[in-house]
Amino acid sequence: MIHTHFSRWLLSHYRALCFALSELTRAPFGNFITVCVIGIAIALPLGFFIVLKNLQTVDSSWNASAPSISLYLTPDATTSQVNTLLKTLRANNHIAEVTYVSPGQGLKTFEKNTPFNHIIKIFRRNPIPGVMTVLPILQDQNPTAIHALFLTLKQLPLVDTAQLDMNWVARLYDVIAIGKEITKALSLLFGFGVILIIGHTLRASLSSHINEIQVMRLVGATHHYIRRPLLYRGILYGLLGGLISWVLINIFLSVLQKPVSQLAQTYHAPFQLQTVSFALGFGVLFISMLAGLISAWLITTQFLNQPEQAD
Amino acid sequence: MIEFNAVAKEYQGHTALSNVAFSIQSGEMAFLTGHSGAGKSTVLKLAMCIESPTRGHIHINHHHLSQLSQRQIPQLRSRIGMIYQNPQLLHNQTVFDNVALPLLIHGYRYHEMKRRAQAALDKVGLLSKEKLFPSELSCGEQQRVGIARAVVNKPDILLADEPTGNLDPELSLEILRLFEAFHAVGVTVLIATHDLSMIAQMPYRMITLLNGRTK
Repeated sequence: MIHTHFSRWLLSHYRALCFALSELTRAPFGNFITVCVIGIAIALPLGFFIVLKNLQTVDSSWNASAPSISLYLTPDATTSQVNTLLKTLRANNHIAEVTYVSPGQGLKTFEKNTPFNHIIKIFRRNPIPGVMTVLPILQDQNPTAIHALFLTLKQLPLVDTAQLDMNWVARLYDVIAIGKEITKALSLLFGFGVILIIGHTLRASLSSHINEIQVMRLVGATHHYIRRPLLYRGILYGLLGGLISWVLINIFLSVLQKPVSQLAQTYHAPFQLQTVSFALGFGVLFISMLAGLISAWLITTQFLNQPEQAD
Repeated sequence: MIEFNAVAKEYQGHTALSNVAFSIQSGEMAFLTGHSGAGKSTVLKLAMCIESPTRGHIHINHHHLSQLSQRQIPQLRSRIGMIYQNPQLLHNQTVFDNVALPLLIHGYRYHEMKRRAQAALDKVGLLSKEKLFPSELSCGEQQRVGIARAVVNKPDILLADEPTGNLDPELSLEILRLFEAFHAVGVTVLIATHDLSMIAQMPYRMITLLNGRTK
């Protein structure tokens, strides 16, 4: 008995799925448009998310998000003076790290990295000053604290010029944070949109089958029976829409790859855009199918709760 | 068994039934008569749980209808075969698919479904037309498809609302003979009709509705 119940249940699900598929192929053009609209609606927040993810890799791979202070030392600073200063700075509990590039090292780097090394020969002595790069501790990496530290360091006798590097990556980080909020809002908005699109399509379909459904109810169809193919159809819309958004975003990224590579080249940093990973893709499919299911459930519930109209 | 007990039905101030009381035993065949608008269709709709009475009680097969939950209504309907004046066929499906619909809904496997649907079509004499669409059939044939669909699930009760309304006397008699055949194998049959001349010679009980009451 249990076996027959279970196999009947399976059979009814199989039939509902087949029916939903046949409904999709019955009006292929209309359904294709619906699925594309769903795909585009999902692609917008997904695209935003992927672009942000890529920007975050810029951030983490170049690991320069923390602001730093560069101290250019006076040219007449002696080695012992420099060492004393290094010790003092390293003892300062507002400072996490100090790196020192001596004039000699600076010159070597300059000679190595630029084609203008012959210019150096014009000068009688090494024109490059010693540079200390000061990285504040994590708690002090906010505009107020770092500015206070900057003002203190600027007063030091050995320091010729001090420069605060709130570098562009740090700014990018703020932009990403804003972008994340926008993505959240977009996802909610477009997720709701997807539910509405699927709901609207199913509703139109229900109204065109109103007689059929009435006859089914009169010969003893349960609410579950009437609802099932529509739930499957909602899920299928979600699945196909999700797949389209996945494809769209990957096309978009592959088009974007070339200009991004060119840009990255100017920074001497080869950069490969991240595409939609399988985990993310399947996550998107799951969510879009869930949206389809929810939508179909809401619409059929609303429909089935209306009073019946016989003949 | 069908039992109506002091049943009344009102629609927004308009009274369709004021006091209907009758009882039909299991296996009995009866006619429900009355002029157009006397409330015959309303009685059948109440019996099918399409609508609920304003007052009174209805029992079908010992089920108290007002106590049925939303989930139990399909169960009740699967035990009742309903036939309409307009046979309510699905015009985008073949005759076979129309008749097999109740079996499909109840999860029958294909070969069992085919066997039963063909048996029902055979009984109404339309087996040769199972692959046609309803629009390719005559009115009388469409009505017989409706009857095949009503009996395919072997219901205990057959309800018919003016089943001969659109048919000439000869075809009408043919349809009534079909109902008699189902009655002969123990099905409870209730037929609503205003065609008194046709049923006058038949040996079945008549329940007459007049001004929303049973006489």
